[in-house]
Amino acid sequence: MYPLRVAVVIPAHNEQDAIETTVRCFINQSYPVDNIVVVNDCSIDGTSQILEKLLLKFSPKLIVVINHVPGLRAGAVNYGLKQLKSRVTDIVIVADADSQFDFHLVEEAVKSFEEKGLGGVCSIAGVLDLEPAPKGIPILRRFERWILWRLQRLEYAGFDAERTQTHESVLILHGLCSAYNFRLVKGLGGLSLNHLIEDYDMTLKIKEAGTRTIFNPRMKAYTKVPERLSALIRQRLRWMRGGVDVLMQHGYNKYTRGDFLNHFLFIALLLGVLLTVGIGVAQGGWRLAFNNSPIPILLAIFGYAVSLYKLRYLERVDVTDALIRVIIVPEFIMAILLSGVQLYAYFLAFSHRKQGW
Amino acid sequence: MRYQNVVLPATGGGAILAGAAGLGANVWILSVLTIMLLGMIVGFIKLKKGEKALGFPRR
Repeated sequence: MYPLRVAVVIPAHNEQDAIETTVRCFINQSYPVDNIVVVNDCSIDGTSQILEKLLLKFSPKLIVVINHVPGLRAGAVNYGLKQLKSRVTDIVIVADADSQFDFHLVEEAVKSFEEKGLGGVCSIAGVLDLEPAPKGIPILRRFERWILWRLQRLEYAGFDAERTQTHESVLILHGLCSAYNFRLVKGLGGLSLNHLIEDYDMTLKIKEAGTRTIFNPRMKAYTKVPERLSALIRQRLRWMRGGVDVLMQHGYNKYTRGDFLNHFLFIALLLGVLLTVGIGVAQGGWRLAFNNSPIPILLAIFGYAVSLYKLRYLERVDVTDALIRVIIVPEFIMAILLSGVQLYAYFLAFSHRKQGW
Repeated sequence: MRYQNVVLPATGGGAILAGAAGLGANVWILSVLTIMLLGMIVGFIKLKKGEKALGFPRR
């Protein structure tokens, strides 16, 4: 009846507020999960107590292991994978602990694996609703969490559009929720311990092993996003620096060339804008800078139209979402900020500075 | 690792500076913007194809 056997690995570091909901999402699935391995990764909050309570209810399906070695997320995931060594598992789903998952997620993952030669499949990445603000926090802080939530909602919808675009070979089987061919992942030695974004490294390894990485939009997963600007910058710095590190390690090949091109265009555009606008404006104005070419205007109009079109990737899109996109300014400010983060990430990567999670 | 770390940034940076100095800054940026425009058009065609294949996004 159930041809493929599925296990889930959830690394959890200080997730007392979310871990019960996450575990219950995988207990209650339309396709049965054989094992749910939660790796309590050096938590110092109430995660352990909640997991003990859940163990009483859901053992032996639920397995809880404690990782005492502080490190990156990959170490915890690998520790979880080790628990499945002697068990029969065909598909392993690696999922974030602070997220929620659709009732049909596992069933959809299994359907994807009916295709031969599949290495992994990833879900959509939606954003969970914003929880009510704690009482008594200042109005500026309230605005910060609201606007960041709105902007990230829009941004994540764009990520899903990109996955649709590259659905037969996605760039990253993301860490929020991806299902892997278990034997392949074990054969590749699990996740690399020395990367800040181990999911990108694993995706490249899967592609280099000659198997495919696809996107299944009927696998639905939703995550929390950073509510503070400082946390967002930290997260993006990790993504961007980690991305450069992974690219440098894998080198230029047919699986990385698209990403290399993106980095090249980013640098070329930035320097080009600085040089052109700087020289042009100094010599006689904006029009001279672009030599009266229609290309920048065409790019702006087409880019704007596509960004409006991509609003359809947002679940429950409302007037505020549409307004933020239409007026451009908030997303433009965020793009400038993230460009700065990207530059700093290059600096960190090329100067080999150590960086934590 | 060292080869990639040195050669790639040096090549990329060199190409950009040569482009800016030799061709003229506005020719350089217009080339970059044209590549981006073409990339965006190709990307949109791929997006429509992906939507057709996946039946996504569904309202």
